[in-house]
Amino acid sequence: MNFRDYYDEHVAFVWRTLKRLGVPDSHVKDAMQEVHIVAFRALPEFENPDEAKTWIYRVCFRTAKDYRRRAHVRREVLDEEPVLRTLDPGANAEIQLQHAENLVLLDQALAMLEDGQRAVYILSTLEEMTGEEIARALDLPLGTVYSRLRLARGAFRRALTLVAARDRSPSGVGPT
Amino acid sequence: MRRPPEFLPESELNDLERRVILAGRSVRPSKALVEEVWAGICAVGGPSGGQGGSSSGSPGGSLEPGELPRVPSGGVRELAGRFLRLFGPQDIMPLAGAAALLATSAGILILEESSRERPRAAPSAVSVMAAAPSAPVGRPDRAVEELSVQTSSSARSRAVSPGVANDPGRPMRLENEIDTARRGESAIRSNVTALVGNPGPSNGNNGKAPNADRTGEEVTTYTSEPRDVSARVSGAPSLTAEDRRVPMLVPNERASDNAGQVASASSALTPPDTSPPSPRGEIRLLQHGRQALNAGRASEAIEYLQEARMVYPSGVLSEERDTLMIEALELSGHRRAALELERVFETTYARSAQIPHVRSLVLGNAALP
Repeated sequence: MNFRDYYDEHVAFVWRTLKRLGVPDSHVKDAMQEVHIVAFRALPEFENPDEAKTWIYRVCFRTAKDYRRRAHVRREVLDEEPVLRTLDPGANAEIQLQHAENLVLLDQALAMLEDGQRAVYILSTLEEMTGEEIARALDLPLGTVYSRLRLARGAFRRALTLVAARDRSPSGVGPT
Repeated sequence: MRRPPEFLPESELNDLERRVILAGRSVRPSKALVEEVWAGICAVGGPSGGQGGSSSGSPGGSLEPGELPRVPSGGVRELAGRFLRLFGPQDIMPLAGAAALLATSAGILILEESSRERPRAAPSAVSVMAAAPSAPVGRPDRAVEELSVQTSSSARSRAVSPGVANDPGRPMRLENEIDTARRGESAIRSNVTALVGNPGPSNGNNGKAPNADRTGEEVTTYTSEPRDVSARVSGAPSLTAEDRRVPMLVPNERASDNAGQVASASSALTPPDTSPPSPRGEIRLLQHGRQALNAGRASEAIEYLQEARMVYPSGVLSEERDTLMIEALELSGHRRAALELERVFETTYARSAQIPHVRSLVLGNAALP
């Protein structure tokens, strides 16, 4: 696997992870670049691609932490990469709008979770990583991962219901 | 430990959850973003030529093993360029100037705060050499007179100008002294002791002021009004131990003695602070005075209150300060001084609600209506 293949495979994961870990949209490009440069240097050390993924998540986590820490000294700039721009311009407009609304709800609900629960929930539910992979990525005992995952699912459901009702979304009828 | 299902079956998700999670899984960055970041990585020294370096071979570019990746970050450069295009150098320079001004102001504030916290670090330039034995008036029979004069002059100055620092008749050196006084309470306190003397006979010094026989001691001088008393001072007799038992409430008389030296010393200072003094120091001094008074240490209370009087001659708590002073004088046995000050108090604060209390202090409960 050359680096371009690796890049194409993981770039979306890195982008989503950085955004969901709180890196402002205006700095996501810089953060992505940092993560991939670090990965480029260390990639030869990883034989197993799955192991590389958990390691990349840890790099993303540290990078996002640095960006959040430095955020207070930065001047806020306009968002250059809103969610809507990630959509396929050829797709149906109504579908795109619905997709964008779902993404907004997702981000708002995730933001209401505790940091530990959010990380586990993202890796499990959205990135579809196994419990062992999450434990490696977050450097947590496996039991802690499962415990947090159980709590995070309940918290996410409550948060999603709340933000959907708050935003008066047509789909915000909440769980039945 | 019950192991939860790692991947919830869709049947356990409600409709909203399902749609949101699916949207979250499918979202991807735009192709433009992907290529832009890739180009940035290649430009930094990553995979050469943008075609990808080998994961098993040398990474290519300028990154060395173990070297921390620098982020030249086209994004940052782009932001800087956009900022320059928006504002231009002519707009950035005033911003830089404003930033420098802010930093300087912050530094001044920090210095001022630190000097307040460590009053002993007050600049020595404001201190002058005073000849203690040649200090003026201090005999008991003149103490009340001086008390009256000083209180009247203080009231007069208050009537003419509510703020001491704004009094146009005040020479600049006096304002410097006031400013310095605000910065060094401890230094003032020690000097007040030198000026006022320890009024109580129980000071273990046989009624003698601590610096009575010391010459050339550093005394910080503060005056509320410029008065020419040099002739009077030059002919004043030396203080006796009996004289120093009585608290003198007019240390500014001695200050005028050293007016020339003060002026030369003050000229080296920064421009005077014309802002009104912070009441916090006044409140603190009055609190100390009240605590000392409650503990029965009348002489210590007088020192604190006299200090408050000198530093904040027109302070917002001057009424309370004079009330406490009357009480302290009465407690320390200086009944005549207390009576005189009470009379002045009634004149100065004619509408004060404290008048019955003050009157009862010096005349007893019989004075109450």
